[in-house]
Amino acid sequence: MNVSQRRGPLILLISSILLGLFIAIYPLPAVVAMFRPELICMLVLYWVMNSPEHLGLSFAWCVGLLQDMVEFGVWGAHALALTLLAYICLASYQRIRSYSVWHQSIWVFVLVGMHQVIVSWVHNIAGYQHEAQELIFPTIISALCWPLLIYLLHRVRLRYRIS
Amino acid sequence: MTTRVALLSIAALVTVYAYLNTNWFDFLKNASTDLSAPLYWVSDLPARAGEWADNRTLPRSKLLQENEALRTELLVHKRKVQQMASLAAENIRLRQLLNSAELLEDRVIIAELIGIAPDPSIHKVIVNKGSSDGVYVGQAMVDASGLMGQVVQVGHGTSQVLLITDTSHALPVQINRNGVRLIAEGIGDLYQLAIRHVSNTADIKEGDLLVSSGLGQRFPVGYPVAEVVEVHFDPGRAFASVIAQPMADMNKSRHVLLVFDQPPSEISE
Repeated sequence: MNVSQRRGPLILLISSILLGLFIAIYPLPAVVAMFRPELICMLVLYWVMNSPEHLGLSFAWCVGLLQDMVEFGVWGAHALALTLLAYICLASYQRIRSYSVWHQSIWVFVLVGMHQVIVSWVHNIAGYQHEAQELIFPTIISALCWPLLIYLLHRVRLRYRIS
Repeated sequence: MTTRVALLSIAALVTVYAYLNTNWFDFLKNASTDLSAPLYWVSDLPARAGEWADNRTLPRSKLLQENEALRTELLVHKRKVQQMASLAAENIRLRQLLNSAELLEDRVIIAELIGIAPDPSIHKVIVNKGSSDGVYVGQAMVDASGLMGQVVQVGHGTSQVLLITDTSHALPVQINRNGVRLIAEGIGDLYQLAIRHVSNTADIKEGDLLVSSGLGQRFPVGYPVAEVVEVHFDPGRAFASVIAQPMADMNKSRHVLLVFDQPPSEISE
């Protein structure tokens, strides 16, 4: 019982990140792909805000590098963006956690927007150019999906009694 | 916490720099291809299941029809190859007269696309052949109608291919009609290549076929690369602006060929 209590969150954490990576690379037609939510970024925000005592900057950095490797991007782009986001989350999680879900969505909009700008800045160094709508649409969709993500993760945690 | 975020940010920026400008990560790159392969393999499953179902439910009459069409096509190609044999022999004789090296016939393996980079500005794909099939970094990838790209990372059973339309890619080409040498550069558009530094007096016009020239020692000679679709001579500028359309179906081809133009053993040294 004790072991499963400690393992539960870890399994949920790893499987959520794997699912996030899978959704990040799932082949979609270009028109639809523009609306793909930045699930990895949202998951990092969620986990850092939910267990700031265990997960922090190094966690965000590693997940970011993993995403860069899997997406064939420039290594370090997502690592940089997610580290800075995790820093903001660690500094303000007490405040953000007390907000209502839709209020949190506005925060997510700002944070994911920052993430997009940092990633596109690093990609620009490598010569890749992004259109403005490629940055803004995923940000809007991510903010709109935030309540859904919170709800689903909450349900999974209740169902499998993961505190 | 502030020092840690500064350290990790600097580490990320150093990673970016090292990834773009050094070869420190070469040993990790191949491992990362293996790491991402299972994800792409799973994401490709629905497409493959659809293909399998299509094959299973095809009616007999349609199969017969398709078979007939393929036989006819094969006959046409065989006739062309008959001529090829004598032409190739003649070519070799003429080259011997000129004391130049014989062109080697290229060996190929068939590969299948199992994934594409999710970012629309990064033109990379992953194919289901890797170092266990003898694939090496720098190998050229072609489809039925033209050159597509080159292998940049090789995993055990998969490899990553950079397409010629990626913004970080450029390749030496020549005009098939008159042999003028040019550089075709990717501009991040799957349907366009920019031809750099074409002088205003160069003999180039719309409809010209550009073939790989082999000058970069990377791509084999003579594969069709692109067709010139737009030439704009502006006397006010030093160079003409030329746009070409890739011959290969960059975003449609699923079955591709990897070309061995040198034995793999020479490359690995």
